[in-house]
Amino acid sequence: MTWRLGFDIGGTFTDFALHDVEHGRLVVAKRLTTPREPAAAVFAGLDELTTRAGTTLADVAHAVHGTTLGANLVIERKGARTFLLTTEGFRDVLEIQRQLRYNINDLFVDKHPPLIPRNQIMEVPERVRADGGVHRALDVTAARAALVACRDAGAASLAVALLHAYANPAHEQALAALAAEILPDVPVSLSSAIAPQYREYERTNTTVVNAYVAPAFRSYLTALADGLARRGFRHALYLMQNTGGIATAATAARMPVRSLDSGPAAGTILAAHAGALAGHRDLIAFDMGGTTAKASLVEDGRALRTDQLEVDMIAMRPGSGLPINVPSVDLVEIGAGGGSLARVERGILKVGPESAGAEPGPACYGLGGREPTVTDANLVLGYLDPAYFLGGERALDVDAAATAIETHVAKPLGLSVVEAAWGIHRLVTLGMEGAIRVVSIGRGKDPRSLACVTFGGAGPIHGARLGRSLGIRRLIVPFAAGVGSAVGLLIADARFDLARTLVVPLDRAPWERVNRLFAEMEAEGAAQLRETGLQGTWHVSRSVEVRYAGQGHDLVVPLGNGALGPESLPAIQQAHARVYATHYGYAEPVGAAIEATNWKVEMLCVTPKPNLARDDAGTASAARKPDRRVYVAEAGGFVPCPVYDRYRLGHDALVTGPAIVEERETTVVLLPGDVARVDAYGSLVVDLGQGS
Amino acid sequence: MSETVDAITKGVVWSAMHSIAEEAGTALRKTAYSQAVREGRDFSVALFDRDGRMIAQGDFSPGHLGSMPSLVGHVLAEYPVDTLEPGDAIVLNDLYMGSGHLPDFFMTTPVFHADTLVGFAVNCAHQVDVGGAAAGSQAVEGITEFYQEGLRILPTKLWTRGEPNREVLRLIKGNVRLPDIVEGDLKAMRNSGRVAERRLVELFDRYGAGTVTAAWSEILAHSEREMRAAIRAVPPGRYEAEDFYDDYGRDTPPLRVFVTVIVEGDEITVDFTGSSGQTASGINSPFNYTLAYTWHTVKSALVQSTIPQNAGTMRPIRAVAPEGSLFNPRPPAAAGARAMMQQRIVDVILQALGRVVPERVIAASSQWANPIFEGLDPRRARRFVFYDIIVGGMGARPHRDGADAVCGSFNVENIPVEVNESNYPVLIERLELIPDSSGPGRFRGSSGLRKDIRFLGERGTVSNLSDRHRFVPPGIEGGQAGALGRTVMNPGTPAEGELHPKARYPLETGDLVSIRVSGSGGYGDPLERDPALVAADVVLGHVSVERARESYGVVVGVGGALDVEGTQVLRRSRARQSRVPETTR
Repeated sequence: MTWRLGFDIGGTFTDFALHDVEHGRLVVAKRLTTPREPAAAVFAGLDELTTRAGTTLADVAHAVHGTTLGANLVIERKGARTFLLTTEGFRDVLEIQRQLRYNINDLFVDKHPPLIPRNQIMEVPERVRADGGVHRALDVTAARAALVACRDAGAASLAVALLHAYANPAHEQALAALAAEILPDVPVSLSSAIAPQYREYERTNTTVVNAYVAPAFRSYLTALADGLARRGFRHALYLMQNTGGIATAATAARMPVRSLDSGPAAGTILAAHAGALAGHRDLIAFDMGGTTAKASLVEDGRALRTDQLEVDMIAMRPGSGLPINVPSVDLVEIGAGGGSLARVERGILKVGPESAGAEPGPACYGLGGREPTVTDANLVLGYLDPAYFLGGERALDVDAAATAIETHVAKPLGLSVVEAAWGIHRLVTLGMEGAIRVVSIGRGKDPRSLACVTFGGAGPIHGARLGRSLGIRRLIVPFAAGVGSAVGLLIADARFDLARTLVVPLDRAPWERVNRLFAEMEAEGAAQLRETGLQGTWHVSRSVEVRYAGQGHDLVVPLGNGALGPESLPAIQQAHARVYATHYGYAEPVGAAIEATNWKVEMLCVTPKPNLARDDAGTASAARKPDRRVYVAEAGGFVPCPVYDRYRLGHDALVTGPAIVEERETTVVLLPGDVARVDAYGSLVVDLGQGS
Repeated sequence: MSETVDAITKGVVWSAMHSIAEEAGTALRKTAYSQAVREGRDFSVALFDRDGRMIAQGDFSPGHLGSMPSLVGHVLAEYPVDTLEPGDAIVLNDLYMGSGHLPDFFMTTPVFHADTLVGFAVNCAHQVDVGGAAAGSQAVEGITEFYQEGLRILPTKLWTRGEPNREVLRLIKGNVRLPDIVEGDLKAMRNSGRVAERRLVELFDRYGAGTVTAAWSEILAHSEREMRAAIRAVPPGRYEAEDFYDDYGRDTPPLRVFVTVIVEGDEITVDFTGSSGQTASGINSPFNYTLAYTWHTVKSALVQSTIPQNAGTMRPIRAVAPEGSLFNPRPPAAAGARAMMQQRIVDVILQALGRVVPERVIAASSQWANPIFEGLDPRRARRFVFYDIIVGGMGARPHRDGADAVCGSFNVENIPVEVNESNYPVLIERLELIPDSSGPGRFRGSSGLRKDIRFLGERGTVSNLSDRHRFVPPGIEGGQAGALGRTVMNPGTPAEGELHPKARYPLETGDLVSIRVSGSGGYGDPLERDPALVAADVVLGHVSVERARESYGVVVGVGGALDVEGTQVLRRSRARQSRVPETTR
């Protein structure tokens, strides 16, 4: 037998999916993350999973890993002791940032301190000009002294970001060579290799984040690979990248910033896949786990991507977080998960963004958590079965949940426990509604014209109510939704995205240099794809960011794959005018001066998809479990509610709300008026009732 | 009200209005050529009902707030509703109808639904140059009336039924230094208006005109109620504050800024009586501009962004300034450089409010600089205008240090050094926070910022524009002032010289202009600052060992080690000194 394995570490849970490639069998598991030693939960989970599947890792031909380890290191400020070498005069680039006052009406607006304190930033005498010419040669003596100072101060990782290094990396490379001599064991991240595009703050920050997470990422991947090998795994380990494409573990160790927040991207891949199988190519992917909720947009079957990832945003305000210039799935992430803590501040109920995480976890876990969480509220409201959480592996303590809610929310607000629980549930749902608005309305899409694919351990509990409040008519809950990101890992293709800045007027472009740039990028991308060893169809897509001369913002214009030259100009001008008109409703006459800024290549190896079809049979009535009392505000309060066993709902089974559908890793809550049908892939395809 | 709208629909309409304004604003910013618009965010979008009431404004430049409510009225006075047709667009840049200086062009687009005029989309964008005596049209010296500041346009149809008025466009292009850029920006404004128009029509299609307009009225009423409730929470009384602008050109006297904030029941009046009279220079704040920053400051202090920006929110907040004064000059007083005045309006109103609600305000923020370099770009063989924005940080907060490198009065994104150098013949040699420039306090102000710009063009000038070179940004509640700003030409060379903050100077190829904007004020007694925070600032190089001792009474040894005992001794002796009775000091 041959298996594919996907495993994803989130803030609260680690999820697993094992798929038998020949027989189509899917075995999944979920367990609490072990934050202090993330690999521990992975190994324990894999042992359980392979035992249940009756196999060993020796039969796994393809393993893909997703993790938010990198993002967590940044958010919690727990990365390596990192030093930065930068151009003399520019020590404060990380502190000054872009100066955006992201909330113009807030006098108390907060700004993140940089990842590296000012005294760990060393200036080096040197200067490269915008055109790549050297204005001032690198002062090697001073550079050596700076590196020695880094060494003596205990640098565990080194970032190098010099002005205009995207145009000429020579000085950065010279510093890397000196570093190899003076700090041979310290990993070095060069801005010219990590994010070779102009705008010094974003490039520097990206490079620094890479350096900051690199040591922990590397040792983690080494430990992981060793543990897998000890369990008989003999093939390549892949890592999900932020783009939703996979790369080898070796690439990820070198450029961890590309896999900073990779689990959520895998979820979007699953949503696109499950949506397409159910006939929906335009949809919202909505993922709610233990720590956060994420929303993203899928257009024509493809996850919407962005060139910049923003980590650790403040109050969801764009521009408040740390910008990281790596291509990524365009996700909005908020601190709203099952573990989000509820509390009362100045008489007002607040939920999240702080999370009880895996330790101590929600009060109902009985692991020492005393404060109420969203999961505690959902338990009190009857959405969760205390005896069937994770299939019964973890008994939930309803009394502990009620006590926590009573002490911290109900009493301070003068409410009953149920009223308080309902308030927590509503408030967290409202926050997620905001996130979905950002990715739909905020991207010019009306949510009412989109389907919503919901997954993650907590997503399907909130999906129907959330969908209603946004006017969404079709909700899709994939089979094994509770471990959706892990399933997404099984489906992902290999991809590598590259970009270089070369600002030139296109009527006088140095085409030879442009062609050389593409050749270099494509060689690098091809090496990455070849390194994966995956068989599949390669797609190379080139593009260039273009603007009218004098503007400050660019648009991406697709390019053909042949050699470029002066004769390419009219086609680029026409394509730019077309894209411009689509975006802004008008364009200058073709022939108006345009300039190029960033040249980009997307390299994709499309691999065959595992077949996730299911052939279960079984009607809804055969899948009934004992009813339980569930709080359905839409029906006026607690009502007896039918409960269904997801595993006994066969193809075409029909369930009407109000109803609860239980899976080991998640619970689907259907409201009055909802009608769900099981499709050929096991997805619950729900026509949502209207009204709220 | 004939129709009441359910809470959900009202919420949807409100958030739709806001997102329409934001989307139209984004379209403007992304298609604009002017650096002021695309990087300085010096633009606005607002939506109005057919009676000219402002329903929503995007979170862009506060400076355009004051002009927006009356703008549609000025347009309608020239073009009554029944003369407007779909596809029309009306421009104006008159400083007294608009936002107080000529570079701000306003464009009004009437919006039609089912052949009926239902509202207006208005946008405003700062043009990089509108002609006049100096590049950038913001000169201070030698300007006595606005006729010297460039082209002035009273309400004029620039598009009629979708067709541009080429004659007027030609007239405009003939009077500005960078005609192609101005034309590009006018098109960007036109396009932004169309984006807003399209989205508003969709909203009317979806919910029907009756529901949308009823929701508008309810949103305005609700906003006004909330604003009044917030004002009622402030103890009534009269609260005064005073500060100064350095001057209005070489060899001119300081200008007094005096406000009385009067809180009466659920209304606030900010009275500028007692401030200096209008000047014969580009430094004057036409009343719309005064009003804009009054509204912005009061709203920021009392309600932050919890209440939408619309006509209702503003109703309970009034500004008063005597005619002929600095804050309400009479035409044809000039005002090209009025942007330099905004920070002081914010500072002084907050100082006054701080007397009654100190927990809602911050100390005086850093004064920004807006130098304009122009000359010949030898690589491209054409003239260039490099409009730069250099901002320091915000004043100290009641519970935290002032935010470094964030503008205290408007919104800005700095222009990256790598972008500066890709676009213009300049080499930026230094960009850094200035040590010991922050105002000491229990919470310290932000540091000043220094940017050294080497001019590599030919036959150029720099129009310097800044302030706080003579009057420090004060602290609050016992906090101390931040350091003064400076502009130094060719520092460390025999040709070193100090530049006046409101004057224009010729530049030779290779000249270096070092712009150092002021720090900002501290909050609370610096002797109460946590010594560990002082030591941390010493380690990071923001505060020197000497400053730690003198201003904070904190003893820090080599390497930043905090001397706990030495600090206790020093602070005790300082406390004794400060207990000396007032009369003997």
